[in-house]
Amino acid sequence: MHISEGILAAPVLIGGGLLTAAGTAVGLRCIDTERIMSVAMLSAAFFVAALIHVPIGPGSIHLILNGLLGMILGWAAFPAILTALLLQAVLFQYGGIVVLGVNTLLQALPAVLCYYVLRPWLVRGGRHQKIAGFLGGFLSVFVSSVLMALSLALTDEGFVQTAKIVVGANIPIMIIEGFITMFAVSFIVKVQPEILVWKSNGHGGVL
Amino acid sequence: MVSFLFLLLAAPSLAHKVKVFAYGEGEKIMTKSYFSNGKAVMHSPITVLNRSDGKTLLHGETNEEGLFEFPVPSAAKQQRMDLKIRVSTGEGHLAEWVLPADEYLEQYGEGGHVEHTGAKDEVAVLSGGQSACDEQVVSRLVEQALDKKLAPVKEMIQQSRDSGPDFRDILGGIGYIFGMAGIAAYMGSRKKKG
Repeated sequence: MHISEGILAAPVLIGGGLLTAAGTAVGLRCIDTERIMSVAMLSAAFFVAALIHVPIGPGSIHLILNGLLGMILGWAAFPAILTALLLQAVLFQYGGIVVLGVNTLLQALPAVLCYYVLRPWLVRGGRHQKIAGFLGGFLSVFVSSVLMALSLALTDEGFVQTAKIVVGANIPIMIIEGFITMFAVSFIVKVQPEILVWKSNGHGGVL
Repeated sequence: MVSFLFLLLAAPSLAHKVKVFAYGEGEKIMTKSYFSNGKAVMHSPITVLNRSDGKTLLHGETNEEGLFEFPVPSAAKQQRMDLKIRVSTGEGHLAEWVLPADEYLEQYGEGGHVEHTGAKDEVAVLSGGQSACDEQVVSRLVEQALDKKLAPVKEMIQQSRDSGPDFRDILGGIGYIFGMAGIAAYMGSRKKKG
């Protein structure tokens, strides 16, 4: 999910850049030394997910995983996603440096949203955890699509029309992403349950 | 419902890089648009601009095979404009290709009087090939033929230049991320000690 360079108007680019800078600052503040590695691992997973294209139907799609990052990292999803997108832009010319701010915001903001809305469910375990996992994957892609349509609409085309195209196009990804996130979450909780504990211990989250 | 189906079909094009490629062929300019995985960009708007001042010369739409061709605009021919061809998929993807005037005007010669050379050729050949224009005609024909033959090769080179990320780059990226995490951890531990 990238917007190419040369499409968005300057105010949208600047606005996206500023919001991403703010989000990243908040995110960096809540990474302590113990969590650096989990942030890096999820950043790497995000980086790789966007590069592996699975052929489905007439084309191919790839995972985004921003819901997973958000639920596990909270605000730290901002620096994690920013790093991965920066490397994608530099190494593969996906997106671009100028649109880096907007692209990060598009994917990190829904991630943080998932953190606030779904994480309480995730920590409760059992069926709640599964539902939260699915919704995390599904909703994060959905909100990202809406934000993407919004930033395109702020530049020129009408919002409803663009939103229909972008959201409609991403429906298969939302469903797949939902299941993948669900399995990923229950796997992580089994293998490394302490990864979910930091918030309830009172450190890490800022708000 | 139909439009919904269309959206689903259009879906997989998301998140791929778009590429456009153009070359002159006789009086026409051919363009081809495709995604980085080689699939054609169908039914997407194409804009042809004057590269120097960014003015739009004409609009068009790609067909089922991602192709779009247009006659060389007369204004472009007269002013020897460098053309910029831009394709947009409307989902935040956009690609551009610059076609320098030399590349599509070459075959017309400097003055742009092509139309008559065909007849001249024959005369020259018939009269024994001694006239001065002979060499010119031959070189023009060779150039034309080369352009035609080389167009697919040019396209192939353009396509292979970004065949997508390879394994080495992906590993490199992961390495960067963990490297940065390592530096951050080091700084963090120093701060704690100090």
